[in-house]
Amino acid sequence: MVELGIAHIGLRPPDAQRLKITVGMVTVAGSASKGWRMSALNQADLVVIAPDDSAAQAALDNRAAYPRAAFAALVGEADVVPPGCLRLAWPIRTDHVIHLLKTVEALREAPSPPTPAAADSDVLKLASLLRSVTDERDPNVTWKVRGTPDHSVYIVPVARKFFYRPALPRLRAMPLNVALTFERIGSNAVPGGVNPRPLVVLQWLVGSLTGPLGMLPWIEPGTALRMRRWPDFPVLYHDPRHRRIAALLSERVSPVTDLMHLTRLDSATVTGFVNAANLCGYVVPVAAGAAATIRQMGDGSRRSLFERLRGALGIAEA
Amino acid sequence: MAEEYEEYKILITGTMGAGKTTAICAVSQMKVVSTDVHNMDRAESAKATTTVGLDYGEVTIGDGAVLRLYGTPGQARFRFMWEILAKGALGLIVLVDNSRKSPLEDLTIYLDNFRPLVDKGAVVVGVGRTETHPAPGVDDYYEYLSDRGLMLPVLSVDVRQREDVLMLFDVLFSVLELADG
Repeated sequence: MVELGIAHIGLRPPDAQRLKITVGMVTVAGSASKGWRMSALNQADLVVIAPDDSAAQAALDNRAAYPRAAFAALVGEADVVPPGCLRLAWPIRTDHVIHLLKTVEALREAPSPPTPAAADSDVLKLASLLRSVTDERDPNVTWKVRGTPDHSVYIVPVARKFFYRPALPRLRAMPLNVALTFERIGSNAVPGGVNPRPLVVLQWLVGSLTGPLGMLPWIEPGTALRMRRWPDFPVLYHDPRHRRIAALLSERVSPVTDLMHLTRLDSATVTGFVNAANLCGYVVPVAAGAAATIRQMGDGSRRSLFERLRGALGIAEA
Repeated sequence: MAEEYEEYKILITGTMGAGKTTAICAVSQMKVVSTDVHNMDRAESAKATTTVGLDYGEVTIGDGAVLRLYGTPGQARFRFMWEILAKGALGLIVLVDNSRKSPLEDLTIYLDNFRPLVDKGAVVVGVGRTETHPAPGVDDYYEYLSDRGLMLPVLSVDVRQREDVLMLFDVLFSVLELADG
């Protein structure tokens, strides 16, 4: 089993002891996916800090020296979590530790720029095209995308429309290794008898598809994201879980890792949302340092209430 | 000793004919109680009947808990009732009829009158009839809200479609999950 390291700075001895015992119990019980052990700071994958401790603050300020480590602050209910830190609620409880360890495990598999192999994906090239056509001003420009399931896609940038004959679920099922070609053609080459659809529908769909490939190449991993407006979900073929991510981003500027931590959703789903919303212009990266202090997503009882309400109304999870 | 039940309340408001009754009917598990009468205010809306009191529907959550759904009367002259209905509400869905003369001004009336819920961010806006009346567009609504320092979800919906109504509720639940209890 892969072993991950956990270190702590500035914790009171009883908290440090409790953390050590809890991590040991969790590992023995197999409650986390990976094995965890206490480690030195320079070998840690997770550093738990007391935010009011000066040594902890210094380590946080110098976190570039610990590139593999996620930082978590041990804080009480009303305490503020330093920017870029995860939260571990005080007093330390086993279920909170398990959640934290699983979050860090997920972050290690978190979105990164596409690997060289993934960067060659034609779906990413289509995403790049869909980004660039937003600035197109020539009314005579139309793009024909060959290789999409059953039928080519025609994109008319200035009209903010695209044409695709089959039902959209066919496009949604497009494999990520599909071979596509892109050709710039005249606007009169669009076949007749096909209804135009809003371009934003295609941008969302392609952006969502790229989730498993990682963040789009022009979005820096770790960058904070800001939502400019809510996606118009009724017209978009979206994962219902995207609504919860949108709710979070509407309230605060957050990096993708915070979105994963707070929504407890997997990397591909969150990255798919970010990529889709960025292609549509709903979400934009913002300057470093703008990330807001993260806050937990409601307390347990409140979350439970809305889960019950969703269940009573028959609102599907995904 | 009387049993205590959990009760939660969500309001649906909007102009006459915006679809409040339809939206509640789409999700209520009981027959919706409406107080429709013949519409004497044809200058305001061409509907034959309109709601002068309120619509009421219910969704059973389980363990005796219930979600109460209230549709407010649409006309501004009934605004005294809005405050009463808003007391203790979890959240608000504002339905805007894009076919009306000034839908953005309509929206303002409701945002102003339900200010406490707006300030809590416990509001979702559903814009109807955008197929036949595309202007103002959803972007215009965002610009309008942004000018007022608001970031509320605005969705183009057809409340005759149950899925669209459920989406409004789901988005409302998503923002309420973040709101301070």
